[in-house]
Amino acid sequence: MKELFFADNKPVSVFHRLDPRGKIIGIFAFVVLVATLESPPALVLSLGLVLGLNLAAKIPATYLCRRLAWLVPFAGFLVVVFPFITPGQPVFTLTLPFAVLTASDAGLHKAVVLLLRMTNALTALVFLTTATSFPQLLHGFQALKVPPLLLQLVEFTVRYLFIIQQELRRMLLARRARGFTAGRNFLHRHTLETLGQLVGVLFIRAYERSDRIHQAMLARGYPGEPRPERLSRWQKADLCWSVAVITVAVGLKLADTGGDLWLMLWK
Amino acid sequence: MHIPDGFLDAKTWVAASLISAATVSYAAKKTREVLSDRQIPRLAVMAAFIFAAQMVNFPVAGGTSGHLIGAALAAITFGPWSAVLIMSTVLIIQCLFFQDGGLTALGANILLMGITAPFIAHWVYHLFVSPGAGRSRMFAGTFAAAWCSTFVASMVCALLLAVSGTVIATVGFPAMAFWHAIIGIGEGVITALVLAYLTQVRGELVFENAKV
Repeated sequence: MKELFFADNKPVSVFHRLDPRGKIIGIFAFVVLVATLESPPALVLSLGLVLGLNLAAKIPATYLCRRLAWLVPFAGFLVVVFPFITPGQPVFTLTLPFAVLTASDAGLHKAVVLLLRMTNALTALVFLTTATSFPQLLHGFQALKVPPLLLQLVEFTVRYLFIIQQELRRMLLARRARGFTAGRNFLHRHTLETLGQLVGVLFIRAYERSDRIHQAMLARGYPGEPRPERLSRWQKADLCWSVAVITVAVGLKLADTGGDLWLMLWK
Repeated sequence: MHIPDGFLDAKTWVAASLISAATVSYAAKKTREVLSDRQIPRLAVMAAFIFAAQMVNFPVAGGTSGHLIGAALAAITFGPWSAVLIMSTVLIIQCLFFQDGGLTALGANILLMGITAPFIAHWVYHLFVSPGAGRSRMFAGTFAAAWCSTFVASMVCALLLAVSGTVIATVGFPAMAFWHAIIGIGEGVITALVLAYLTQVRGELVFENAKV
């Protein structure tokens, strides 16, 4: 994950060079519209388009898969659960030792639609965050009037995220070296006490680190406010790109809502 | 509890986003008054801490595990308004870079874990624990605060999903209530143990910051 934030992002494709504002607006509009699509064909089509976009931006497939894989535990759970909790026409029944579960057609449909929406949105976000370097992305948000305090917090948090995680990993390793094994449930008192102390020590270390960081910042002449960053002017290509992405998304939405109507006319 | 994209309908996520945006900007104003220029490194490193703390799994039962949300811990140690900023920062980073929670659902996720959870924790904690309370009372108060924050946030989550027509209320509420009543015990016990440890070794650190 580190390379996402700290890599020396050379513009490997034409998409990397686009204005961050345009990419943010375009992708946000795309996600907003695609997250409301109802029909699986429209969703599959948009997934194809957004995958194509990732391909065109020369984002490695392995990297894309690795980031989308984070979705698996949650999505898998939903796909398994949704058919059984949504009322509708029964499709098939599962007989388990403790219960009989009936899957409904509406539930299966819903599971597929939700899964596709999620995958669409995530693939679009992978494109945005990979084809735009982290500082560029922050400048883009700043130019779009996101409160600077929030952006600064995000920037600083990302900077210390991996340090605190490393600290945690070291502590977990040390805990293992001392022969700690976790209990099986939360009635295991020793496990919980160790966990509480682990998180407590991490808290104190993070807290004290923040003081040192603040002093170091002051020593280097931190003015207390970030210096505003200027982005270059919008180019024609940026505008065209954003308009194109939004047009495609609106087109998909229209095809989606009009789908039934067109089917009726055809009949 | 992170809601992904596509699970909320437009009216729900727009409403949730507006509430969250207003609350977060008010929190920014409120925290600025108290923490001055130290706030940015302080809040950011603590957000990184919450991020890491969420990676620590605790065993629940039968081999399953849960992880901390950390909202109660942040609210009790830094006050609810700073906790709003800390949790929102964590949620924004998770949404943009870690595929955890959707972009359209970001406002809703902030509403659940960044606003509801810290404020419930703050209120419940101060209902139980008055200044100068004994250690066992503090322990119980922290447990109750963390449990309630998890439970109430999960109920708001079920509400949003029901209003959107994604999960019908008769299924969503009992399922979320059952699971988070259990997970909440882990959150409660660990938060209480962390607080007990902190007050033991660095008492001033807990009480000095919780003024906001």
